[in-house]
Amino acid sequence: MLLPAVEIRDLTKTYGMIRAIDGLTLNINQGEIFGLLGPNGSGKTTTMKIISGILKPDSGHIRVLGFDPVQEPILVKNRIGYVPETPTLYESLTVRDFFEFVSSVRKLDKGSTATKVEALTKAFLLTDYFDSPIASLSLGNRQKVSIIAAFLHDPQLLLFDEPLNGLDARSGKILKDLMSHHAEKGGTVVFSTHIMEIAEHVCKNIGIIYRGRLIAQGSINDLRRYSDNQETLEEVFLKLTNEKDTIEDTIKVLKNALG
Amino acid sequence: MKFTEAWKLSQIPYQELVFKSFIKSRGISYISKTHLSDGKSSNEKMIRRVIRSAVGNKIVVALIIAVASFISFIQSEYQYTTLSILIGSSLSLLMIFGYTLLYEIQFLPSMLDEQPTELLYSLPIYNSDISYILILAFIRAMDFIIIVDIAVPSLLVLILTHSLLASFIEMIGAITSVALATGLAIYLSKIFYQIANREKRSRTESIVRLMFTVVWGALVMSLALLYNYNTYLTPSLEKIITESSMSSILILSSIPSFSFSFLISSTLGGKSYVASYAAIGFSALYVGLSVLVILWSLRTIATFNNLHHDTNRKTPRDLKLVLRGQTVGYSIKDFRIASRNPTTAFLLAAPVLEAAIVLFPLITANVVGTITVLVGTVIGGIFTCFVVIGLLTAEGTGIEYTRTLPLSTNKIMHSKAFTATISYIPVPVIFALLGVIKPAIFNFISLIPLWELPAVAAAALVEMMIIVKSSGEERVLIFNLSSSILYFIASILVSCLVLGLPLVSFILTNLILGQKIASEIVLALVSSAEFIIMMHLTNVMNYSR
Repeated sequence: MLLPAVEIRDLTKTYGMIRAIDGLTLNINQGEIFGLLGPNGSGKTTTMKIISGILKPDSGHIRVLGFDPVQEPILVKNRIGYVPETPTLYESLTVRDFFEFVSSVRKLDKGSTATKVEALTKAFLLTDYFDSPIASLSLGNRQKVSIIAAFLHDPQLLLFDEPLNGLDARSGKILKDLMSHHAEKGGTVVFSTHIMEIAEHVCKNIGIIYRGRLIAQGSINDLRRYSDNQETLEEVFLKLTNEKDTIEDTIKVLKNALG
Repeated sequence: MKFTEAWKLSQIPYQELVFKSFIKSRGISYISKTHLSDGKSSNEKMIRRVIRSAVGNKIVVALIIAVASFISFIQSEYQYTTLSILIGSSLSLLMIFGYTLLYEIQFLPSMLDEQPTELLYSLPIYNSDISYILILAFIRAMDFIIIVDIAVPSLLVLILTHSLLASFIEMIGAITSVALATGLAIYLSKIFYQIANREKRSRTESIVRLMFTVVWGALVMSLALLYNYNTYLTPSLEKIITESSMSSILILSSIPSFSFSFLISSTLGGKSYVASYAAIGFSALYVGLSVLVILWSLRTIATFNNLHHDTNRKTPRDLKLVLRGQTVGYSIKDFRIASRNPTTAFLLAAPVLEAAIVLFPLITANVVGTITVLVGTVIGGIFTCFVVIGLLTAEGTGIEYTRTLPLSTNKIMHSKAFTATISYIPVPVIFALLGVIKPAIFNFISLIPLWELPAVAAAALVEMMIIVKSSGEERVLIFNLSSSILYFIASILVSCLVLGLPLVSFILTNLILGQKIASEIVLALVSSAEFIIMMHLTNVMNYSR
């Protein structure tokens, strides 16, 4: 039996008075596309950063591809491709400089890297910006740079935090197909999104995080059952996060306020 | 828009500029840590601290200018005579010009880069008013400095001469110096911005960019050393003015800082009529020029909003990458980002200046002596310590991405130590060459700087270890000199000990055994031991990532 790609038990992470992750327990299997949903500030990004070995949890157990990201962050980082929510890249580097830096640090093979860079750069229509400083790129193009860099080393696990931010429809479609292709090859994708339609169509499994806890996990059909057979994922989400009733009241108040 | 309203609004882009520059130099992780650990109140405290730190920087620069101005008047051996006032006034105006230029060329490129008025465009404010607000934000960034620039030399001249007219001329001279420095700084910053952000098109363009960065770095470093020039310039000027021909004096009075001083001198009873008339002519010319420069500067600052990076689509020559090992790959990244940042571009000039400083006293020396070699080696080592600080500062917010890569803190430290040590290489090369060309006290003395190489790398590692440990885990390898001055001093002191230990062991062995070859072997052993110990310590130290 395959080991779970990500195994989290009773994870906590606090920032001063704020409890970002509160006893999170979560299993993600290899070969699946897992969608992490939750309102703003629910702990999705913190969870991603802990999985990728960037942040240390306060307590709890975590294994990523069989490794402990706290004790062995380099081994974990070698096996994952991470696209952060906001691509904070080295702005004065050109796209070419940036890929050279990432490939050198990851000790990649020259031949296969060249093939991948060429194919991905052309697919994401980034060729004409290859020698442009990253500072001059739009948000979408920066996101593409970050996505390409995440694919260069054939990672087993892809961690995408809001990967469709700023992407045009064409690039979004390519990315979704790449994620499916990665999962078909046995790789795992964990991605967070606020766009319910995408989660509904792309993800085999979905986890809903609310106030640092996992409140539901399963396929879209499982989630429908948990939420009294709500029709769409949006309705499921609002029902499970107890926002369905309050949101209607909020909209009424807003309509009155705005006239 | 009314001035009071525009002045009030200019606080927003000014604050934005200060804050964005801080984030860039210190890194997001610091902010997120502070924000998330202590909540909103702490975040507000941090913003206040950033603004206070910016005000502190301005006060420090203003104090440096005030002291430089004061020192200019007390250097001359003919104190409080017309000659000493002439020289003091000239040098003080030169200092004002130099230090204002230095501050502005560090600050203005950030203003171009950060687009601090971007937010105001979404509000119902005319574009012309936004330009007006941006000019006022620039004045806010310079306020103390401009006041000190103008007030201190004028007051000093008034106190020393009791002449309101002389003081008034000095004030006009100071205003002219500030205006010309500002104009030049704006011009240079625009060039830096354009060259540093230009796309990589050809090898020639890359070489031009590299050369420009080296010149830029040399300019920044030589302006920073302006204080030292005072001591050398005063006697030379005294000699020129008292002994040289009229043509030399005329040439001197044609230089902006000197024309006003000759004018002051003539109001105080200076004897040369020709120089007085020339000074009147040149001063009038520079006042006129400064008016034009002020108008041009205001117009140019107002257009800073419209300067954007070149986003023309151009097909690259190929999509090939040049891959290297981790250490070299990281060093090249450091080199690239440092060369495109005006505050760290001086790093590229460091080896050139280092070579010049070491070479200068050696040209006239007949024999390569022990003291010369030891002093040159120490100077080279200390330069390297400054390069380390520059490399840490250059990292900026990009470190957030690096944290996602399989790269340990130790590896990053080793890469930066490697880059810093490269800047030291001209020193052993110069001494080795001199060892061939010039006679030496003993045959292998010119190799001392080479044996010191491992100690230089060890000193760079010690320095980084202190900074990394003091900065804390979340702020690893992001360093802001102005707010971490105590750690900086501590790290430099310890690094100097590491640099000095091999040289001290050389001296002691030589005193005890009286054998230079044996002493040199001890030096090489101590230096290598330091490097091995530091590599071991950095490897076993437990950093979180």
